[in-house]
Amino acid sequence: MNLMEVEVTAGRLLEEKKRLRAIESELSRVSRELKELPRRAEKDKKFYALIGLDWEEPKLKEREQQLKAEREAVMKSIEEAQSKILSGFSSGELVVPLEPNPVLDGGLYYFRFRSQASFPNTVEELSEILGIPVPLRVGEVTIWPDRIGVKEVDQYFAKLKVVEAFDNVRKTVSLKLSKESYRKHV
Amino acid sequence: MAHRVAVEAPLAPNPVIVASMGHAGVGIGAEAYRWVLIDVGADPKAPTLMGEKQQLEVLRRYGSTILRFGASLRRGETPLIPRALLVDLDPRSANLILQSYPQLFAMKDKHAVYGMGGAARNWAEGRLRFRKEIVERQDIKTRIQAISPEPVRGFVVPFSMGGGTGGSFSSEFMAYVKGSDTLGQATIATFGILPEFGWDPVIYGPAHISIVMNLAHQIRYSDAPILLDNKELRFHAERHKDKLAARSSIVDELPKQIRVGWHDYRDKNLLAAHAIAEFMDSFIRETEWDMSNYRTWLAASKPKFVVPWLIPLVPEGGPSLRTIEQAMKEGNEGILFDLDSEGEIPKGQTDSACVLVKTKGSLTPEEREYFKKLLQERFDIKDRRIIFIKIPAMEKEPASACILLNLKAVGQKLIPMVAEAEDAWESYKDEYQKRELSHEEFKQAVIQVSGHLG
Repeated sequence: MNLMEVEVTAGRLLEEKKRLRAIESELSRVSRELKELPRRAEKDKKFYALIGLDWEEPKLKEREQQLKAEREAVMKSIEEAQSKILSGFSSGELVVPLEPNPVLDGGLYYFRFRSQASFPNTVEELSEILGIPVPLRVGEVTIWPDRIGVKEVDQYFAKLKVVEAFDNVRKTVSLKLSKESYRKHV
Repeated sequence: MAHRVAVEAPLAPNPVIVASMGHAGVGIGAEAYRWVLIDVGADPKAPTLMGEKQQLEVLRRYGSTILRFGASLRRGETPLIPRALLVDLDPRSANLILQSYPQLFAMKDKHAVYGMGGAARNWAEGRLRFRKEIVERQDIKTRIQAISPEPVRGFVVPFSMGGGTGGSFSSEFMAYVKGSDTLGQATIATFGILPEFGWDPVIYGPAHISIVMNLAHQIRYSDAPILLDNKELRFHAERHKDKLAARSSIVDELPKQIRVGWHDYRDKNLLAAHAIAEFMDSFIRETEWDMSNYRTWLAASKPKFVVPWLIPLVPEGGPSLRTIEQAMKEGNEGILFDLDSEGEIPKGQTDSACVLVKTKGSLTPEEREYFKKLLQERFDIKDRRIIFIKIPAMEKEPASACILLNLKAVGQKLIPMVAEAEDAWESYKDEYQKRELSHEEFKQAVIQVSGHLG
């Protein structure tokens, strides 16, 4: 899997998460109104009678059902995207398209992504998975959306540290992916 | 008389301090000294060397690496004093040792470094209080210098990993030593004991957080991280309880009313002490192997952790290889760490071993072949990855071997604990964050440990 595919999936995932938050907020409002409906309906009916119009019961139940179905679909989509990202990071075959030659600046070697690519969604999602803030610090390697910095004076060792950092990320993601199977050994 | 000692005594190598951390660590560290003293023929309650001949013999055998000579109280007698620090938040464990062994721990309160009471089984609280109560208030630097005025070349650190004090104190002690201008070059060997859940008095979730934080510190700072687990220690102690009952222990000397806590651990601690004593023998009885060599052996290993295999578990018999062969036949042997994974031990391409052979005389080809075969049969470790270290046994000392195993399988046994720690963190993080263990620091430890072990 290429990091670009992960980025597309992570972008979709972030959108879906945003959508899920909106659905849950709306669902919460609808559920609250539904709960209060019997108490309010009586007074509402009186008001409508006073102004000479027919009172129509709001379609809150239907809306709630609709939102729940939407939430189910979005959650499924999130689960699929997360699973795809976790598999990508844990497979050991992830291609991280870095420029082969880093640039030394202020005691750090910086590797840019090829074609000036940047991966904000991937880094944000990885931040959530690993539980650490952006930029992601993994040992002496720091991962920004558009570059990777390594605290090292030798270019060769800087490259080794990048490999090691992604290996550590892979193993940590694998651990999260298969927590259940690990737990049975304890 | 004193002139002969002054002329013939070997040059003293720089010392190694046993810095025991927490309740369990204090008990095991003191027990390890007993084991070493019994090996050399000294009385562990009041080790005094009578006359210059004996003094020279001990000096030649041990130098003054882990023991120092105290001020002579009677003419011609020289007391031996452990270079030991007994560090705990609660002073009771160190007090018991000092009160029961006033002549062994003759530097009295200089051996004991303690704080204001327990760490609530919370790694973060233990670390915070180590910084405030041990480093700042007790001035650990001065306390180390008091116990050993010469520059220190190494530390042996026994502790339990699942409690609040041992796991956190050892972690912060390692960070303190490696970050120190004066001590930073010292070699650190750790003896971390994993708890047996459902048996030891530890709290499941927080114990896993403590284990993960401690493993991260061992990976970063320990040059020879040696792991043992209480489940296997208890299993072997049960099997050999008669033989262990025949050996004396520090527990036997403690006042009966207050030895309850340690009584349950008597036999387990004896086995752990045996492993520590053999490890210390590897660099104090011979000049070929230095403590720092362990660092290079393990520096590039993943995982860098090793586990001890003792043959025999309880020494008996003569100083030849036959004693070890006999122990193997009788089942008086065991690995002090549970390696089995669903009935088998997974093998790693770069598994290696360091064989500490304590027999009389030089290391013979027969001895080498015996241990090579043993390691190949059980672990498939290649010849070229075996290091042999000879520990010369005394005339009447039983032969024994301590094989330090560096196996991939060890990492695989530890990984589930990382998963458990992550689960526990979600419930306990507020408690830890209040005591200055941040969410990010914990997560960084998870990445470091799972990356190292995976």
